Amino acid sequence: MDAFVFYISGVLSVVAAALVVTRKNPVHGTIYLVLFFLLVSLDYLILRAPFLAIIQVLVYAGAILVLFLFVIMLLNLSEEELRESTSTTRKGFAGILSAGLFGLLSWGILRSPTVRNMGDLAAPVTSPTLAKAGETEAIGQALFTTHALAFEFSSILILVAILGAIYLTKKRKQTSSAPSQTSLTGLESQEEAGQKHAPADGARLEKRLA
Amino acid sequence: MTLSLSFCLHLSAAIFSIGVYGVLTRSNLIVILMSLEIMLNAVNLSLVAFGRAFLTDLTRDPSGPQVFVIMVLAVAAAEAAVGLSILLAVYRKWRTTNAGEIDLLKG
Amino acid sequence: MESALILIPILPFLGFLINGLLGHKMPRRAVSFFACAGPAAAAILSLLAFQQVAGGEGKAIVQSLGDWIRAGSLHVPFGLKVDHLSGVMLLVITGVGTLIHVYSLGYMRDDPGYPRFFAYLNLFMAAMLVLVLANNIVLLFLGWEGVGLCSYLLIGFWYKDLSNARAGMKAFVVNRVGDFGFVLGVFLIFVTFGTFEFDALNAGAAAKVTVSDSSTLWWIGILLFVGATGKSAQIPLYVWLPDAMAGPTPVSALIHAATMVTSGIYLLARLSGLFVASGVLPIVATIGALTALLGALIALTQTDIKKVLAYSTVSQLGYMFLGAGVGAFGVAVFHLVTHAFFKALLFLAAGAVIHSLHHEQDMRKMGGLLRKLPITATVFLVGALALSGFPLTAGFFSKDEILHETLHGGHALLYAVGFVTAILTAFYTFRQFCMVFLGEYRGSAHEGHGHHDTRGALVHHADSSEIRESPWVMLGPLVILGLLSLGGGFLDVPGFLLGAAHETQAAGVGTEAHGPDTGKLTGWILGGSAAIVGILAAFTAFQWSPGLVTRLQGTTPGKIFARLSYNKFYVDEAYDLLLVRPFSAVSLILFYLIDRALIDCVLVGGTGFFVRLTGSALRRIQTGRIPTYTVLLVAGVVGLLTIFLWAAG
Repeated sequence: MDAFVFYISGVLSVVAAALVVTRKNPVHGTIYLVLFFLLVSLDYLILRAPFLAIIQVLVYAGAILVLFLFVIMLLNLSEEELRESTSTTRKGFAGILSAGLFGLLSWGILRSPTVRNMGDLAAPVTSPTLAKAGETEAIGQALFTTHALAFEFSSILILVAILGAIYLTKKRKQTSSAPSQTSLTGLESQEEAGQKHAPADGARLEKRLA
Repeated sequence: MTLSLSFCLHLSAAIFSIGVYGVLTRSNLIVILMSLEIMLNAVNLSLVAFGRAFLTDLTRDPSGPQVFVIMVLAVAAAEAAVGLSILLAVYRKWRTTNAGEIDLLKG
Repeated sequence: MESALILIPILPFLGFLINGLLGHKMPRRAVSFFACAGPAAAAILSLLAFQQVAGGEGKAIVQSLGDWIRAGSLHVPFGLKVDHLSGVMLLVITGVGTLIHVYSLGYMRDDPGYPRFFAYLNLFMAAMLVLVLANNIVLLFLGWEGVGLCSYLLIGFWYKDLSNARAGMKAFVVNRVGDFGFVLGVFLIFVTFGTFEFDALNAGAAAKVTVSDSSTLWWIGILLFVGATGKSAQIPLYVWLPDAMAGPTPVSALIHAATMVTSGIYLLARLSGLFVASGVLPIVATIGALTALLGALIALTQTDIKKVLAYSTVSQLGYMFLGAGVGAFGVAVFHLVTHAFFKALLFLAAGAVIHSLHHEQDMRKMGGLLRKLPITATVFLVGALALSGFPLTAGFFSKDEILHETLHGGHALLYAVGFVTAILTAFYTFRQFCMVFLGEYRGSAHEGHGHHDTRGALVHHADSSEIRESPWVMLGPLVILGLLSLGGGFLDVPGFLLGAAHETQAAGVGTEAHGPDTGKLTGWILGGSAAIVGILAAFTAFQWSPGLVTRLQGTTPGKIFARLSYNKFYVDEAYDLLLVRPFSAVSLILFYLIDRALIDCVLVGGTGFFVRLTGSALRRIQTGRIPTYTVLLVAGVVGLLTIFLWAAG
């Protein structure tokens, strides 16, 4: 039963991921990304990682995605700005590269006798201590004893990331007061940008209407 | 019905390749960041699968792989925060989120 | 004392560091203090070490400071050792060295390079002490090269004058020739013996000569001797020493008379067992005797006050090699000690004369200075007597003992050469004394001419009324050295060293085949009379009947000899023609063909061209756009993954 669920959710997560990278509108992409995260969280649950499953939902679906959505809404990009013009050759090239990557990884996986001889992952665990691995208590124990140093370092990393984010997003007076930048921050610059794209957009609009 | 490690890894590889495809084809920086998150999740999935597969060998630290995933999660969160703020700064300066239009890396 | 040996070279080295790094920021007084404190402290420590070695058990003091070099079977310990031989050397170096440091305080007083001078001088002391204290030949080589470096630096001390810099370079290059032999000798030693320690070498050589063929040993001996000829200015490598007089006079006294140039003798004495076994001693003796004669012949006609002393040093070093060559190492070291006293004295006294005459070195412009500089003249006379071997002075005993040993060893021809040289020595020494101190002052005759001195500055000739005695800081060391030159001959250095060798049974210095001293008194009488004959001849020629020399030079052989001698037998010119010019021609060809054409154009230029070519091709992919880079990144990942999986199976 567990395995069956895994297969279903696996296939669905591939589809969701594919939809994320192909949707034009990032808001739609974000919605599919939520779906993808939830499916992955289900996979975690089946692979005996209940704590991670919860964290996946909380951190990814709850925090990181909200951050994405927040930024998208903050930018409030227009239709024209969201339009991308990726050439077919580039898409084909990217397809070949990513397919080649998958092919190579698959070859490597299939060649490995260790992977081939591995038993059923969905089977129940007999040892009671090992069965507890992945539960909140076990993770907490490991995190604060064996991996305490890594844990502390990751906290420093996040602190630095916070500082960096604050520094990057802070509005700086000296740059905005410079004459070359003022025109870009104001409303008129938006029009300028719009005008810059105008001919191409207009042509595309005509095509669509036709 | 059994669940093989091979399937888990193939699933992970497939998702990873899709993420790569996204990074390569999309020019919207937001979507590129989302593709990166997909790639990270693919790696996490393989880590968890390995952790489950080799659970009986990991008697000393059975939760190790999952702790590793938590670390990746922390990095992912940091990356998302910094990446998105760079995006904001870029947008503020050039009024665009299109990676193809920014060519400041040229030496 | 065992743990304090390292302090002996370290203390002058500290002086070098302080004066070298901070000297230009410190007041003169502080520079002077640090300059003299190091050598003086080293002298006190040396005295203590010497006392411990000489008195009491008479055992050598050894300090091991761990490994210096360890690579495979090559093992060089950093070990210091004071035995009888190095103890004597220690005393000479630190004692004479300290006196010369004090003297230099006065001599260099007005020089702008005051701290630099003392830094070099201290560094020299440190290197020389390492040379003497080393218990293996590689560590000795460290000191050997160190003193060579300091010699170079100090010869070219007034480097703004090109000829001084050239003289320094000449000394350095000629020494390299010798060092080349030395290093080859050390390599051969390592291959043959596998060790570098002196005691093991001396013992090993004695063992080796009995069991196997001695051609390897002969080569070791000859190569080391080549090194010794370079450093100790013997034929054919003596040419650098007279030019080395371009340096300040205290340097000439310390480095180019008393200490550094004797390190070749020290090497011979240190490895006496090896040299005896190697069978090169006859060559050593012959070279020594010839050098003694040649140096004396050239010294006869030189007019530069320091050049006479320089050639005299070459000649006296020849005596030492003669002594070592006939197997009397202890006597050679004895002559080394007394020579250090009286030659340092002569140089310093000459320096005092030069100092008083505002850097005038031409003896033809001196004369009559006995009345102006009575103290200097007196100590110079003492030194001259000692150099001539006047009875009961220091040089008398040591020189006569060398001659005695030569005759005793059955080398009649060498003895004759040595004897003639002894007369010549007395002659040129008192020629110099007469020219400088007796007669009338000739300096003012050229008044108003003016000339460039060694520092390149225009100096006027001292008026006879301006000539004044040097300050006491210079005269004090002179007086002390004068006393040593008078009484130094009564030290029984050979006996001391011989006794040590008997006690320790090491092959250190104990190879003199001493028979009963039957001929010693005859030797003394002969040697003393040689000195007196030479002195009287000099007085006759230059004082009592001044026309004699001109009349002699009027005859054809006299004329030829005078020209040959004055031009140093054209040895420099011959070297220039035979060695320097072909070498520089080859160098020029190599420069244009190999360096300019091949290396600069083809290799260096070609590399640059290739890099620029590939760069201009590769810069096209540097678009600065992120999508390009991501595609390339993933392509690289795929490529690497392919390679890895391929390699894995």
